[in-house]
Amino acid sequence: MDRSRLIQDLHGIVGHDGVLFAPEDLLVYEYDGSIDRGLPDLVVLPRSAEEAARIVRLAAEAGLPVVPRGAGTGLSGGAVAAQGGIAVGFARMRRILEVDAVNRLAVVEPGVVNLDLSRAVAHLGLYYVPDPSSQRACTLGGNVAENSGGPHCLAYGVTTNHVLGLEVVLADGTITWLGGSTAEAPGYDLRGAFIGSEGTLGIVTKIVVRLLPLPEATITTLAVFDELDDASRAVSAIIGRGILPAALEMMDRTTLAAVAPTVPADYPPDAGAVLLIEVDGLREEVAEQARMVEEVCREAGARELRRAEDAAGRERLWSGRKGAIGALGRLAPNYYILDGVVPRTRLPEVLRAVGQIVERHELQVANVFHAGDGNLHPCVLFDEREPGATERVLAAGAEIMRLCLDAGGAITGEHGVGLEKREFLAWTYSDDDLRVMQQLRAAFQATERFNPGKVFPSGVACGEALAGPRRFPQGAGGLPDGLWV
Amino acid sequence: MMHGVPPALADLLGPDHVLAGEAAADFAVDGCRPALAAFPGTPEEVAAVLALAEREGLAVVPWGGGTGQGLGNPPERYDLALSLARLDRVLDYQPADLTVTVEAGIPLGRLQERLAEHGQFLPLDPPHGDRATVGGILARAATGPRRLRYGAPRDLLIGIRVAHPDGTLSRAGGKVVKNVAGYDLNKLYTGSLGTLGVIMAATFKVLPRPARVGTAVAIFPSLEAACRAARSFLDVPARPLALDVLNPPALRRLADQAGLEVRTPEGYAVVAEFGGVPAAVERQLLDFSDHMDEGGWDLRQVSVDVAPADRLHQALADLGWDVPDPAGFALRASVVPTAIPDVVQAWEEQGRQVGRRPLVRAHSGVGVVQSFWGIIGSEPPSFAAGLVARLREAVAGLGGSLLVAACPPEVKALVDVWGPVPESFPLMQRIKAEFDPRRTLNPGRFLGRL
Repeated sequence: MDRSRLIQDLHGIVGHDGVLFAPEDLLVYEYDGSIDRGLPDLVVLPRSAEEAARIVRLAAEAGLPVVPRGAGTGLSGGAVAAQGGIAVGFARMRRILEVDAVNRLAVVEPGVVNLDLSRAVAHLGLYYVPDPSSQRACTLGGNVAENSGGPHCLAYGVTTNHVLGLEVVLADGTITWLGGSTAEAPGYDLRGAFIGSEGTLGIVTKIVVRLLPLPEATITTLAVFDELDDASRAVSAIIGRGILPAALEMMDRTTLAAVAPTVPADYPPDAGAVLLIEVDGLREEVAEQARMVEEVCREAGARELRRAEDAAGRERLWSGRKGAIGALGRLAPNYYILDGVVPRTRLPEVLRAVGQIVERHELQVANVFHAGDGNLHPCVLFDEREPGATERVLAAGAEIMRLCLDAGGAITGEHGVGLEKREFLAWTYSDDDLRVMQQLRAAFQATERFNPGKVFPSGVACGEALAGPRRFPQGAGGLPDGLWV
Repeated sequence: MMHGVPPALADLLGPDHVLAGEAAADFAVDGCRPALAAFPGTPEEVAAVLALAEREGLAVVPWGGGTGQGLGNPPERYDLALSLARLDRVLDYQPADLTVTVEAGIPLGRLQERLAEHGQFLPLDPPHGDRATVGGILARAATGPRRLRYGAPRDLLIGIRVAHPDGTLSRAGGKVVKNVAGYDLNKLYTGSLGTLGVIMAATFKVLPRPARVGTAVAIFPSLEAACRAARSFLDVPARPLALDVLNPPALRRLADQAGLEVRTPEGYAVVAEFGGVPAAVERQLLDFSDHMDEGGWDLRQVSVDVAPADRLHQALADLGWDVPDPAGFALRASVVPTAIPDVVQAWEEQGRQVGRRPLVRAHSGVGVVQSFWGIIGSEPPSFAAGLVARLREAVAGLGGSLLVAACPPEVKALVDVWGPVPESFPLMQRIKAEFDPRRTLNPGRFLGRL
């Protein structure tokens, strides 16, 4: 099928506004929040599930893969059209279709921005729990694809624990519901298998989400430590004491040096590390938990504890955490964010080892992450113009992933495998494990149809796969507004 | 076909771990008896048995504690019972990480005892929780009343190891609570009734035990009052672990089993459990009493902490399943929570029409409603089948689904226990074909006779 014919047919489905094909328009869709690039052949913006289904069928006829795309804030290359194809965006499918406050659910289109949903139901005393750090920009469809987490997932779970049903378009253009609005449905948990499949099994066109009541009380505590080690021991101790805070975040000295001058939170610029700990729930629980948290932190060597119990105070404390990535631009022109997970008891030794790896590669690292569930985000700082720097960064990244796996952890806690880590999936899983996963993809008849080249190893040797055109995000200014990690 | 199999199994497992003929009778399912029962001791042995079964075209039923084998259609074929009883160890327990890895054949009760040594627990409370195995609970996605607060097995499972009919072993997930590496096959296997693979081991998130658990019961004269009281209680700040609505037969049974004093045995009850720091539990119990009293629902009785919390919890978790009735049947509906009163009313009405009083209990806030119908007596199986059809129709009309969770084999011959297949069924069929192409595992027992 020739290109102009294809464009014409797509115009017939989505109208003239819905197809982008000029080179300058396609460039905007070449990247996401990761280090990878890939130019789609065309970009299409459907307005409904039916239009999306017709696009899928047309793409099949034209022999082109389909690459679904949310806001493009993903950090592993999930939305990058690595093999070209038709990028499908959901900017024209962003309505909240239904809110059922009594049954505590909502039906939304995939283009709805995560935070906008919580804002829309706040007046009902409800909110949508999974709060990825990019929630001011990222979409719920993208959240479903990545099974996104966020700081508050420690106590409450991730996207898959808050989605009841999905309407999806399958490879043959069928529109079908997986799950629905009720707690149980007979058959396989297709909704659960689909969530986190990174756009490789189909396109999401509607999402039924669970809403939770806003907590009665919330207390946020900032704990300041002289040593990173003390802070990471405090994290293990908090969990070990049986406290599961709503959020438990850590920032190290390097991060604080960047953040402290720029945000209103009054973070101490000379501390070794800080912990930001939030507990929520019933008044009595929250009071008790906050007290225990402070006790544990003091025992671990905290030199200062600061508490906020009202919204404005909490906002101030959080502003430091939220401004961290943006502030890294003061330290270096480029950064590379990793996403490993380790058991919480291994945090102290792993953080030390991360520091050693980075030092050995003559780089700098800023650690800012969800310590409570062991999900590290070492941000490796460098200047990509420096000869050999990129290679050293990628080598350090690979060593850190190896470190996480050896500690009994995982290579990705929330950013997804995408393009970035596909070769490392072979470090996590055996050939048999991967073959079984491919059976699921075969059942969806989706092999190479949706988002090809993602998640699974290419079979190419590691070094070769990691080479190739990559540009690192700028330390500042290259970030979508409101993005923090 | 079967000629070489028993000696082959004996070679694989040792003759002590294979039963044949009469000795395998204990492993009957819905009156179907297998010729053989095998007791492998390691995942590799399980895989080898499955590979043998697939090669020989045998149909295999995996067995845990046997407490849930009544679920599903009768097997379309049944040659070999595969018992996981010997795979019953705790493999790795990290209290400071709040994770535990166990073999699938471990009874939940034994796991809870081990976790209790460190003041922790796995927040799952299905019926027969003592004897049901972790693998069986996962395969059935079995839940109990505390699902309101803690979620279902899918929300607690973080890693799994599975044996496949072709003899391979595979893993999915891992041992950490946040992990998005690869497809989430944990979710696929959970609730799949052993039709995609046999679970060898599972890793879970665990929680610290609440410092205190408090219970409360409120009794009202009508279904409507009880449902409205329960429904509105979900809007107050209290966070119950469980919040169930019971009809009079259910209330009387609970009272018997838990030793409750009930002054209004004909009442509809709201039963609540609260857990956490003592001050929080005390306040929630007060909030419960006040709420039930002040709503204008003609409260007849409200009592808090009327029985030891453990005893009440056990009785509530087992309610309906505690007095097994092989001639009766159990139904399980899933609807949006606001439809609960309509389901209960429709079922009680059907009961009146046929002269039966079912025990009905509902998980408020979750939308799961269960009913238990006593012995059908001299009526033919078609009577029960007709009743089930009408009860299912009532639920379908409310946008929900109905599962016949247990019933006699003669009735199973006349009803499809799972109900109509959803529109995604072709996808499920393709998944089954990929994972178990020769239909070795539990053939015909699952939805749509998968």
